[in-house]
Amino acid sequence: MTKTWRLTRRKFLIGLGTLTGGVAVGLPLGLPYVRRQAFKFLAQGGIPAGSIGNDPLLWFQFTADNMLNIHMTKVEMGQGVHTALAQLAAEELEVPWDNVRVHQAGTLRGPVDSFGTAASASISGLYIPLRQLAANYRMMLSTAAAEHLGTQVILENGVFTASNAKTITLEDTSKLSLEWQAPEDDAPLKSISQFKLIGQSMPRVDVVSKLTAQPMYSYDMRSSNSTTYYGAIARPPVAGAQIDRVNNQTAKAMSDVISLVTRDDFVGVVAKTREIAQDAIKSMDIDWIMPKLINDSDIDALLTPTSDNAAELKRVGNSSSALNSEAVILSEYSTPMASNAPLEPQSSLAEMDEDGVMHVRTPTQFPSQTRSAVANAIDMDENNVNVIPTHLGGGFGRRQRAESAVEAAILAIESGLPVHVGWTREDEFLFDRFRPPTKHRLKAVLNNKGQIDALEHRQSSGDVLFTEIPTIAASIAGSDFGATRGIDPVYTIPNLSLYAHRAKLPVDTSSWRGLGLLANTFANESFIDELAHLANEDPLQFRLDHLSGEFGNLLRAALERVADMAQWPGKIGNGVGMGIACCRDYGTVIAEIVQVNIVNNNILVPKVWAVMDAGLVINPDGATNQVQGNIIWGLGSALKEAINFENGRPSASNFGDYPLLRMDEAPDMEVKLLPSDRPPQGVGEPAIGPIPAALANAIFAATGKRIRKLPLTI
Amino acid sequence: MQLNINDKIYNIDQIDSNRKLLWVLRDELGLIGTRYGCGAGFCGACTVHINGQPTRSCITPMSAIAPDDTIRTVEGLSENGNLHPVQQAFIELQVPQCGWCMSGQMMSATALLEQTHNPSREDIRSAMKSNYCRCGCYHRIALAVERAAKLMP
Ligand code: FES
Ligand code: FES
Repeated sequence: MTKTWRLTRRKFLIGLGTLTGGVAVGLPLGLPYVRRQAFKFLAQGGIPAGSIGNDPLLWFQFTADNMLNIHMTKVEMGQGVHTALAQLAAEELEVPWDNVRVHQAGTLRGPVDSFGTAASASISGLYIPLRQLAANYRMMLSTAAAEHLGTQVILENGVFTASNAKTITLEDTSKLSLEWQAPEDDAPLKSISQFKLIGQSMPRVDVVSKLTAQPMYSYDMRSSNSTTYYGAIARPPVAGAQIDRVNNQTAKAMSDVISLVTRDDFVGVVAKTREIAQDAIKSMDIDWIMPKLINDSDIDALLTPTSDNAAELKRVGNSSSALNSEAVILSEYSTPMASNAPLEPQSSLAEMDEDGVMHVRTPTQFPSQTRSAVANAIDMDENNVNVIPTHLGGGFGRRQRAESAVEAAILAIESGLPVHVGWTREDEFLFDRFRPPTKHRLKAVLNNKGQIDALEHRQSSGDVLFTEIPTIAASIAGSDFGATRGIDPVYTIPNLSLYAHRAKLPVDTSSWRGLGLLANTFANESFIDELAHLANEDPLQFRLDHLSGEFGNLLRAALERVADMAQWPGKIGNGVGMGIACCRDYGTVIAEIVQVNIVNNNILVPKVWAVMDAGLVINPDGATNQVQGNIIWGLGSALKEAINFENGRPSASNFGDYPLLRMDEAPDMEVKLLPSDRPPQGVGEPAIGPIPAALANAIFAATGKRIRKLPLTI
Repeated sequence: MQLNINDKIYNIDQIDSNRKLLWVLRDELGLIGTRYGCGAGFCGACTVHINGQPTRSCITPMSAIAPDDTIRTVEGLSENGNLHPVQQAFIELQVPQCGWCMSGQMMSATALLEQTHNPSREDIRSAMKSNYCRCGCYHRIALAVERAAKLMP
C-alpha cells in the first residue's frame, strides 16, 4: 500500500500565533507599550493551542472492524478533553460515535503538540483545526471511494454507498492503493445546525475504565515484557539542597538492591520492591549543602504591590488624578501559597527497547518538554525518546513538569532495567511548585451618582509562567501573564489602571488551577462588593450598572440568570446570607452565587449557583462537571488551603497539614450553561474565579464582616 | 502466606510482615485498582473491605491480616462480567473526572449500601467524608450513591 501526501502546494493547516511574535512586533514602540499590548493579547485569549500537524494519518486510523482510532495529542486529566476532541473529529468524519476509540499519542508517533494541555485552551484552540483536518480527510476518502466505485457516493454510518448500490467501508477506503492528495481547498465544515455529536453530552470515553480498575495511570504502569523494578531517589531535606557527600555502604550490602546510581547531584537506587528501594535510600548517610532556609517573613517582604518596579498593564483615562481625591476608598487583599495536590502522586515507568528507544510512561501535561528533559538527562537524541503520557490522576498545572520521568529514565539507563519511580505524598508536598502568594491594593472613587469614577488595582505575585520561560522574555513582558490572569475587570470604568509587580520569590511557584484568576478575582470582586455597599446599592444591581459592550452584555445575562435561580438576594441576617461575584476568563464569562450559614463562627456553605457562558459547548455534561469541580476548588481555597514556610520547609507534608474540602463540607449546587453560538471557549477553569469573593461577600451580607484575606476565617 | 481476595486464593511467599497491604496488592499481585493517594490514612483512595469493613490498605500491615480474613478490592465489585450497582450508578451519572479517587469512593459506598439500604443524604455525607476527591466530584458522588441504593438488589 503506498500512500503519499501531496501537501506542498498549500499547507492546509496554519499554526497559531505565539507570544514571542506579538512581543517582537511591538518592540520599536517602547517597553511600556509592548507590555500593555502583550497583556491585551494574552488577556483576550492569545494563548497558543499548539499545532496539530497536517497529516490526517497521524490522528486517524481505521481498523479492520471499522472502528476509528483517534490518536490524541492532548492529555486526559479528568477534564474530558479526549471525549470532546473525539466528538469534533467524529462529527466531521461522519463516523458513528460507537465506532470511535481514543488513544493517547506518544511523542514518537506524532504529531507532537508544541504547547501542551493547559489554560483550558485545548478545545477552543482545536475546534477549527481538528475539524478541518477531519473534514479534509473525509473529502479525500469520499473522492477515493467515488473513484473506486465509479460513481457518486454518500457516507452514512461509516459506509460509502454508490448510486449503483455498491458499498465500501471507510476502513477499506482508507486502505485503497491510490495516490492520495490533500484537497486543494479546505473541505467545508458543518454548520452548527448540522451537528449531531457536537453539543451533545456524549458519555465520556474514559469513564468506564476509570470505574473498573483498568491500568491507565502512571502509577499503574509496569513493563509488559519483563519484570519491573522499582526506583527511589535520595531527596534533599529541603528544596534546593545539594549533595555534598554520600555514604551508601549499608545500601550496597542490602539484599534485593539491584543497582545504586550516583551522578552529579543524583543518588538513586533500583531494587526488587518499592519498599526496599526506599529503605536503601533511608540507610544512606548523606551530607547536604543547605540553601538559605526560607520563612514566611522572607516571602512576605518581597510582595510589594506599590513597588515602583510594577509594570503598567492597562491605562484608561486618568485614574491617578481622580484617585487623589479625599474620598478615595482603599482596600488590601491577600492570598496565600497553595498546593495543587493532584490525588495521584507522580510516577513514571522508563524502559529501553532493543532498538535503543527509551519509552517513558509519565503523567505530563507537556509531553514535548518532558521529552527534551529526559533526552537531556540521559544524553540521548530526542528522536529516540518516546514520552507516552498516561491518564493523569489530576494535573491542574502541576504536571507541567514531570520530574519522575527524568528520574526513572536515569535509573533505567544506568541499570539497563525497566524502572518505575513513584513519588510519595510527602515528596509531592515538599517538592511542589506552589500557587504563588499575592497581595493586592485597590483604590477607587465613586462619582456623585454612586458609580465608579476611577479604579486602580496594584497587584504583586510570585511567578506563575515565568518559571518556564526564558528570562529575557520575562523581562520584556515585565509582568507574569499567568499571575495577572483575571486582573482586568469587566466593568466600564472611565479611569482605570492596572499594575503588576513581579515578586521573585525564593520558593518554586508555578501554575495552579486557573493561574492568577482566583487571586485577582477575589480582590476585584470583593472590592466591587465593598463599593456597592458604600454606594448603598444592591451588589447585583451595582454590577449590572457598570456593564456594557459585548462581554458586559454576556455577563449581564449570566448575572441576571444566576440571580433568578438563587432568588437573589435571599434571606439575610442571623448568620445567613448570599454573595455574588463574576468574572471573564478569556472568552468565557461566569456568574456565581454562594449561600453562607455561619454557625458558631464556622462557615458553612449549603448551596452554590453558577451560570456560565462559554460559547458553544461541545459536551454540556462534561463542562458542567468541570464547573462543579471548580466550585469545590474555589471553596477549598476560600476556606482551607494555605501553605506557609518555616525553616525552608512547606507547612504541609501530607494531607493532615493540608486538608482538602470533604464531601460533608461540599454544597449542593446548581449549574446552568447558557446557550451560545459563539465558538467554544475554555470551561476547565473559569468557575474557580468568583467563588472566594462570592463567599466573602456572602459572609459580609450575613455578618457585616469584610474579610480580605484567604483562607477566610471569622 | 495465603490471602483470600475477591474469593480467590493468592499464595505469596516470604512477605515482609511490615509491608502494607496496598503495595502487596498493587506491586505483587497486580491488583492496581486500589490506588495510592497519601499512604497515611487521610484520603481514602486505598479503601478495600476486610471482612466487609471498609479499611485503609495503605496503613494495614500484612501482619494485621489473619489467615481467614476475606479481602475485597474494587476488582471484586463486578461479578461474572456484570457491573456492581455502584459502578452502574457512577457510570450513569458520569461521576469521575481524573478518576484516581474513584475505587476508594466506590468501596466506601458499597460498604455503606451493604449496611444501610436507604441511606439519607446525611448518612452518605458522613460515610463518605473521609474519601477525598481532589477534582471535586462530591455532588455527583452523593447523587450516584443515592442512585446505587435504588439499583441494589
Ligand atoms: S492512600 Fe490510604 S488513605 Fe490515602
Ligand atoms: S476524580 Fe480526581 S480525585 Fe476524584
